[in-house]
Amino acid sequence: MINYDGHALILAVIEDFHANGKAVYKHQIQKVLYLLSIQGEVNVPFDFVLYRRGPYSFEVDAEIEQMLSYAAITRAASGAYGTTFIPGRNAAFVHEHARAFTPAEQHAIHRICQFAAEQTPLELDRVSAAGWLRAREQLRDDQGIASRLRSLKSHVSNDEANTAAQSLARLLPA
Amino acid sequence: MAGLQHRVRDGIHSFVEFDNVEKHLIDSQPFQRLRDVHQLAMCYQIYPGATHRRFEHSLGVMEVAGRIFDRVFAPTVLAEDVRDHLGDHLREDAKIYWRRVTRIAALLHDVGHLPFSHAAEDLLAPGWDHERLTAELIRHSEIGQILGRERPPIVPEDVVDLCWSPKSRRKVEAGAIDGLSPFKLILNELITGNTFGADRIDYLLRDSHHAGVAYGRFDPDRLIHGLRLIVAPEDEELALALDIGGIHAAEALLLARYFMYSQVYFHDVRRAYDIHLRDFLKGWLGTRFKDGLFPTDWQQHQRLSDSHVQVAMQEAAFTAGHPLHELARRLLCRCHYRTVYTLVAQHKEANPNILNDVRDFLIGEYGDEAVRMHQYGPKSEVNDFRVVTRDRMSTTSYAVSEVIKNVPAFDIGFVFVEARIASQAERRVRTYLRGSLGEPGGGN
Repeated sequence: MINYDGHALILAVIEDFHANGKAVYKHQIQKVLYLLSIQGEVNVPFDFVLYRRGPYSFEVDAEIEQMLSYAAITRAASGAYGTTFIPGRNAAFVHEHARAFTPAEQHAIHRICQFAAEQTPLELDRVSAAGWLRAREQLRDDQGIASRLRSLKSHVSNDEANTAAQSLARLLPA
Repeated sequence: MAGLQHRVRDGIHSFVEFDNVEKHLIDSQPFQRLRDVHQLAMCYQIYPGATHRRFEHSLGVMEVAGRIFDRVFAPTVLAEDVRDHLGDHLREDAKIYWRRVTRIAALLHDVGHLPFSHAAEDLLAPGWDHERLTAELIRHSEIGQILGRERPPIVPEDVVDLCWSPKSRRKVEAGAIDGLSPFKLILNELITGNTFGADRIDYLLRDSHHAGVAYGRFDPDRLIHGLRLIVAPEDEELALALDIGGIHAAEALLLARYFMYSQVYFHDVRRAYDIHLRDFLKGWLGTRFKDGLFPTDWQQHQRLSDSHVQVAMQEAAFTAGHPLHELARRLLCRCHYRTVYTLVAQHKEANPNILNDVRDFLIGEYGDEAVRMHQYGPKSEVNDFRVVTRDRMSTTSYAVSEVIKNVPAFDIGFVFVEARIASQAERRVRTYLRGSLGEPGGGN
């Protein structure tokens, strides 16, 4: 069966970027959804693992494929970081079948999309990985998160790790 | 390094060479069992030559994995920034160790397969699949002892880390994936990777050879020769990439994969046989095990292979009144169900649930037992990989190849019914599609 509620969430992220004149990379969709899942306002019905580039969901990947197959979304272009996506000609189909988002949910989605759009891919990776460390490893202070981030990713500098931890704290206060 | 002291002839790679520890692993009971597990289940009912087994495939994957390892870690291929990332892994002793682990992981990656390979993996307890069983065998069977006898010893967990695909492993050991180093992830990708994995390279070549179809052919040597490690700009981690000179070999591989999937792996009759095989196995397991499932205990798992199932199938097919008589006859007497609906893109765009809807409609008409459905996909994104241009810049396959960008996604679905009602059901499906999609001829 089609997971319309999950599709609606993915589509909401793509639509938010699109409304601001931007196409979105799959990698950005993954990170936004993960940050949303730890923010807690929106139910994110996907599991994540900590992978090469931070939190990653194989289920999100599969659902994006499914959405492409019935034109709920479409590929926009191939950029430096892979393929970008925009809403497809059957996007309305998802809205018809999925539960509508509450204003609070819409606000949460928009806020995190806006944040993600302002980050470089590497910055977004680091912030979402910092989010993982806070949520899964129960690390609470910025310094502890930054230090653990450095131990996971040896090429990340102290400054970059600290910035990631601080950005996370600003975006999602503990 | 232990010398390559043994060799066997191979129909795909001419020779497969192996050293003493690899020979001991090949001679082990878990690996010998693969001589009795068909690579493509009952695909031989459609392609009579497709009777090859997991045994020779596994040897082939070891051969290919060794070649890829030698290529990507060749001193002349490693760029300065990659050397910095690899650090101690480039020490000669470390390199020898990881080359052995890579080849052994490739050799053993399929030892956990059930009878008839993938046909009935859902008849395992939740959380289990053949990859987890493979890990069990590496950890607990004589394989672990053989690895431990080596000097220096080969750590079974290193072998598990390299042969268990993260996608499957995260379901049961998510924490283990979090702890996998980028280096191990790269070696894992050499074996299990979607685009350049040794497993895929071997099975496409081998399956097409045995099935007698030309679709799966491509130039593996050119492809492997084009592989290299890079530091990916998007995450500053090691990644497997392809030199631009190898792009046509990659295009050929991806097209080969597309044709093999659409013509062989997802041939509709082959899928009908898989469904019948699963139905038979479900009944058969119910007579042997209390929970009606394949055992997950590795010792019991080792006692089951294709021959056991085939003997049971023959017995049931030729014994009137046997509880599994009809199920076995479908398989052995070509009484398979017939295809009455094939999923097409325009139907799905009009109704994403069309496949389920057609099945439910037919169940309403003819009852549950007369109808079966198969669905796979959609899958397409795995073709997006890193490419190194002639001026040593990193880009993506989609940016340099229109062919790769346009390889169609796999989105496969069939609805089957009993042969005796096939013509009538097909007509009813056409009428149903006209009504639900407004399609003149049903498009089928």
